[in-house]
Amino acid sequence: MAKKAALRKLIIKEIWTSKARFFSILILIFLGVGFFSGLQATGPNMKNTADQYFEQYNLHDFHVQSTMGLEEEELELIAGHSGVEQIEAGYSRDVLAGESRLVMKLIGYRDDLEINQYVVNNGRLPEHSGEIALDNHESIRALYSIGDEITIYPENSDTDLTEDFNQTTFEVVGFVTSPRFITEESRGQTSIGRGNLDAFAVILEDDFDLPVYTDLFAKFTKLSGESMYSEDYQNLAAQYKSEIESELDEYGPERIAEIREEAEEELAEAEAEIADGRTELAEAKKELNDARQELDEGWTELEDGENELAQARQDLEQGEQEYKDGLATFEREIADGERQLAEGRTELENQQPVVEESRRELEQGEAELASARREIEAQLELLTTQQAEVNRLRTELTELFEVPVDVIPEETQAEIVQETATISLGEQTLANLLQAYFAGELPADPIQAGLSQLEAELSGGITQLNEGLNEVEEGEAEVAAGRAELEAGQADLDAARQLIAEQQGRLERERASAEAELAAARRELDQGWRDYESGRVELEDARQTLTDGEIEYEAGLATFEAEQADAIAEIEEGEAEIAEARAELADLEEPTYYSATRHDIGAMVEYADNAGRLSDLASIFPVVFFAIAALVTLTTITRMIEEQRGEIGTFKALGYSNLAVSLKFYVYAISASAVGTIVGLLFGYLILPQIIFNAYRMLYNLPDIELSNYWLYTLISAGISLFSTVLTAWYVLRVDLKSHPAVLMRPRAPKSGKRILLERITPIWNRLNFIEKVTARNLFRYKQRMLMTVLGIAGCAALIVTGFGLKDAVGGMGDLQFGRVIQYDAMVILDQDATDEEASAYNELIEGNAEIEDHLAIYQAQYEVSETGVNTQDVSLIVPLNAEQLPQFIQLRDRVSKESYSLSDQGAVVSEKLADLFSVEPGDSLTITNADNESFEVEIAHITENYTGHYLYMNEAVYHEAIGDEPLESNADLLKYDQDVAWEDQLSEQLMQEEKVVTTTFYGRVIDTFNDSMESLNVVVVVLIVAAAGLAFVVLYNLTNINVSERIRELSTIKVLGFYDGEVTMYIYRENLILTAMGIIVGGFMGRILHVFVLATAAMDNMMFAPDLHWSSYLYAAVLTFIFSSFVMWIMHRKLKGVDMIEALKSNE
Amino acid sequence: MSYVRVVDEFKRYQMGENTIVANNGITFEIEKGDFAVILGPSGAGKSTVLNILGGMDTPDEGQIWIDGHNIAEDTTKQLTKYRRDDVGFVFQFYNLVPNLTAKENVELATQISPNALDVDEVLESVGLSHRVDNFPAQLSGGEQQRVAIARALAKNPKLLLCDEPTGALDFETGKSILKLLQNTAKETGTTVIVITHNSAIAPMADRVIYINDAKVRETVLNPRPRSVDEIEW
Repeated sequence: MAKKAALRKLIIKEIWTSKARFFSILILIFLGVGFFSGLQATGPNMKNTADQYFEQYNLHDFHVQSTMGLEEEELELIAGHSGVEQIEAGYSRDVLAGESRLVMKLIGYRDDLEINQYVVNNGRLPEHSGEIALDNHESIRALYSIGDEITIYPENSDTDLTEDFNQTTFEVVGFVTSPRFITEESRGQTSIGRGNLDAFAVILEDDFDLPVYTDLFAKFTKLSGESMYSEDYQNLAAQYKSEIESELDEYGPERIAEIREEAEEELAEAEAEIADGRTELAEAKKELNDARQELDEGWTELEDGENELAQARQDLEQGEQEYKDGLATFEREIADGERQLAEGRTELENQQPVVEESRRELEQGEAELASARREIEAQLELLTTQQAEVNRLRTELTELFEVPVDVIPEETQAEIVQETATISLGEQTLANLLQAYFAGELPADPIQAGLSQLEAELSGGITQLNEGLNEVEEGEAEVAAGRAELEAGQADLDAARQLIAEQQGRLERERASAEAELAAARRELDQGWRDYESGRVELEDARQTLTDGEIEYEAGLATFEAEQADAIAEIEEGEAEIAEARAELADLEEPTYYSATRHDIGAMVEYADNAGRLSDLASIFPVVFFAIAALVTLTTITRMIEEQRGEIGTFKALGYSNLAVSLKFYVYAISASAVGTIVGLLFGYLILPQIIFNAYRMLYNLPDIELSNYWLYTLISAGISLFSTVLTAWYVLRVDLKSHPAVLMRPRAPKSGKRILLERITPIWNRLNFIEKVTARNLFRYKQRMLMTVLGIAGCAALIVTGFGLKDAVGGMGDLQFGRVIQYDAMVILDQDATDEEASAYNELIEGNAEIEDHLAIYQAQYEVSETGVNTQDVSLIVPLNAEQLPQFIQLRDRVSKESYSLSDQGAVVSEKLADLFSVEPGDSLTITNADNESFEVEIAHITENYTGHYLYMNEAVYHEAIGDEPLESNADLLKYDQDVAWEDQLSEQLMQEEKVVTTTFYGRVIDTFNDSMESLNVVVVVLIVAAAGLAFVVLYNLTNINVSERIRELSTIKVLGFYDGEVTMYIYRENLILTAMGIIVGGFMGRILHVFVLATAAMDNMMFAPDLHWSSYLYAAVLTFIFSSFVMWIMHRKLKGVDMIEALKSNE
Repeated sequence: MSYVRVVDEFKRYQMGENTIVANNGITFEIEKGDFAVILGPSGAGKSTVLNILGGMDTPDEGQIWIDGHNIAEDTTKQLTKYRRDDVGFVFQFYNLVPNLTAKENVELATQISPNALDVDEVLESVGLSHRVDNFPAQLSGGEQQRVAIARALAKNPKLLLCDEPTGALDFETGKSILKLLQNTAKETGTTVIVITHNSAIAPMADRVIYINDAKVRETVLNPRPRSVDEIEW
């Protein structure tokens, strides 16, 4: 449509020709919307970020600890709760770590644990025994890098870490972040060291050697996916907590019985071990004694051996002598024997021939006798045989002769004939005769008679023969007698010979045996010598062995004596421990269970509070911008409409409707605010949250912010920005649209000059020079614009004052705290269990150090203060052992009145912020709770200036009255000196070597780190200053621009009149400078209010900003505002130089 | 040598593609103490001449000699000084500062002028001594123009340049203003140059320069100028 097209063109042209105004509105809307939406969104974004982080790393909903650790029973008990989705048990223990004795919480890690995962920032998680992943905290990263070794130490010398850990030295393999620890400043409370954890670290669960779990972590089904900052979460978590707590409380007594039983068993074992130890010791002693005895015996034996050896030598020598003697005797005796034998032999030889002669004679006689006998005997025998034969034959023949011859068998006859062939009878043989008989030729009788004759002849021959035999026998007897004689002589000879032979043999035998004997003696002697030699060598060896044994014994003895002391000490210690354990067992109380939801973690709640504070800030800053945006829009549109009265009139005269006429202005206003809103929302949702969150990240370990937009804030922003522009446009147009076109087309009567109030104060007015008068009058001519300029400038100045004030307040906090309140330079945490010697060694070191000006022993402890509606606060209780000295170390005084306090018996002195939080006045009492959940009421006498942390100071009397009767022992020492860091390093090293010292904190460094961390606030300051600059620029530029365009004739006139360019600029800018000055003054007051408001909302629970505004903040604000103003002046100056005076003067308006 | 001498002055304006020649070789002279009128129809280029003479604009070519000084060669700053010290302007629409009283408007000029006259005297001379403390809005058109003339005269300028000083005034008032200007020239010896399209005014001038179509058509010297009272239009 042509009309619309024309209108659109008109609008675009309008925007283009008045771009400065357009952008002024746009920028102000942008600032307002940007700050509003950004600050509003940051809070929810921060919570979202935390929620997503916790979700991603599966942060526990519920955490249980117990004074006695936890066991499967408790795990099952909790797992049995209907709300529990997941439960895991784990180990952790707080130790001191590294050279600087950082207080570190070691947490066991297993890769299948799902609750509370870690963000690995660098390196990796531990995979092997002896590996450790450290907290990714900046201070830790400054000390360690991957590959370094870190050793852990117990909190005091009585504790043995190897009881709880399998490793005490670890290799750093990575740096991690845990959703459990989100505050940078502290990783939580602990019962060791200063009471604050410096860091956590992750080691393998297997490197722990704990009998029971230390932690149980649970997730609840209904809470997963739920924002922990939602009310549902809080209520449900609280409900679960109380349910589980009551179950655990019921379980407590069961647990204790179990523990007693187990402990008894263990004690018995320990006692057995000690007994074993004693036995071993005794055995060792006995062994040593035995060795001594053996050695002594050895020595004795050695001596005996030597004596024997000497004796043997002597014997040997004697034997040698005897041997020589024996040899001589033997030789002599043998010689005698041989001589005697030779004599005997000779005699024997002489006798022998005589005997031989007699023998020969005898033997002759014998031989004759023998032959005679033989002849006789042979005759005799023949005769006898013949006789026998004849006898037999006679018998036989007799028989035969009785038998008729013809019956005799031929064979028998032949046989007898043959037998009798040899028997001769007279001339005939018997056989012949028999033959003849058989043959019957001869009768038997002649044969018989022949036989009887034969027999008689035979018997006579026998008798003769017997007589010869007798004669022979007689000769024989004679011979026999001679032989006997001979034989006797021979026998004598033989006997003599025999004797000699025997003698000879005996002599031979004797010689042989003597020789053998001698040889044996020789061998024996030789053997003796050899034995002697080997005996000697043996003795030497034995001596050597003994000497060695002696040395060994000495060494053994030394070792024993050295070890004995230790062993005894150990045993005694063990016994003491057992006794202690027994005592403890006797004192054993039921376990106390501590359960915590996420909302019991202070940091988590504080983080939410911080996020909430941003919403508070969001409600004040944007108001400034929106208000000014509305005012600027008002001026701008007013001016625009004024300039276009004629046009409006013409359009109206042409018959355009009011709406059509005013549409242009609405569109102008709407497009400026719409674009401003869109850009503002982009900035607000995308950039501002990051800037703010990055500042907060100095305090919190959290991942990058989760950005999101919120319809509610978008609608509010858009609503307010449209409202502040469109409504203004409507308001201004309203009047003109009612007028008749004719009126509109006539130039508006110039706003008449008016006398101003100041003119009536003649003394002042008269003093002003002309230009000043003009300026003054001009200032009051445009009140609306003046007001707006002043407000805009004031807003700018206020923002700068706030920015620098905030920086001063926060940055100055460190100097105030550590410069004014804390007067000491170092705090040494002492081991209360150290021995007296260790304590005096420490004292000597401190007293002996000339540079240490003074020191004060204190007792310090951590307590909590809680009350419904207030976050639980940690408070450090400090009791100086010498109360008079305290003022030199810690300044106690009223911040405002500067009245100094000292510790009295009337009560404690509490730090200001804590008193504020719990609305405590002097004379009231404050309830503090220790780690064992015991509560104490403390009377408060005074409230003292303090900026970070909460402190409660009291003297011993107050302590005894309010908390405990036990005599106080110092567990920390405050040092004062005036030295540099190098000296501190030296001192630190010396201190670390002291057994008495646990850790040392140097406050010089604390200030540095503190100030470093507060650098983050510069971002806030920069944001505020940039916003302020933008505001100042937009306001000044826009207003000056309007001023110039409105007064262009006037300016042209004075230009024509011959005002130099500078004079022209100053003609109009003098007003701006005055307005700027006024704005700065107003801004100073506004800034102060804003500052107090911002500090009140921004301050965290454990910090107090000094609300004083330093004059420099005002100065910076003034200077910067003037610089912005001058910048606008410079731009205006350039613009004014280019003003075409002729053009302006040509026409009537 | 004349007090004011314009020699071959050209002024061109670029309007998109076209070049408009506002002054096309203007040459004229005016003597000291003259009451000169530059006459021409609208758009003839007379205002351009006046602007150039007054040091508010510079010619593209030519010389502008004022009291022996060629201002065509002056820098912006020198021109400003020239305006400040030597020129008084009177505009058709007075151009008074509405927020200043009559006296203050005059003072605005005297504040910066080295040889300024007494403000009250000047105001009296223009017949406004009774209205010195009034704001422009409280004054009639003639009175406002008198204030403007007073403001111009108070500087004691060498040149008084008037651009259609009566254009917004009724006849009678216009006449009184013209009379004031004529008297000023006569009495103070100030060179007064009036630009007008109203030829009726021509007879009262010592010198009339006719400009048409960017050129000087004619310069007429009037040895006996008539009094304003004798003029009618």
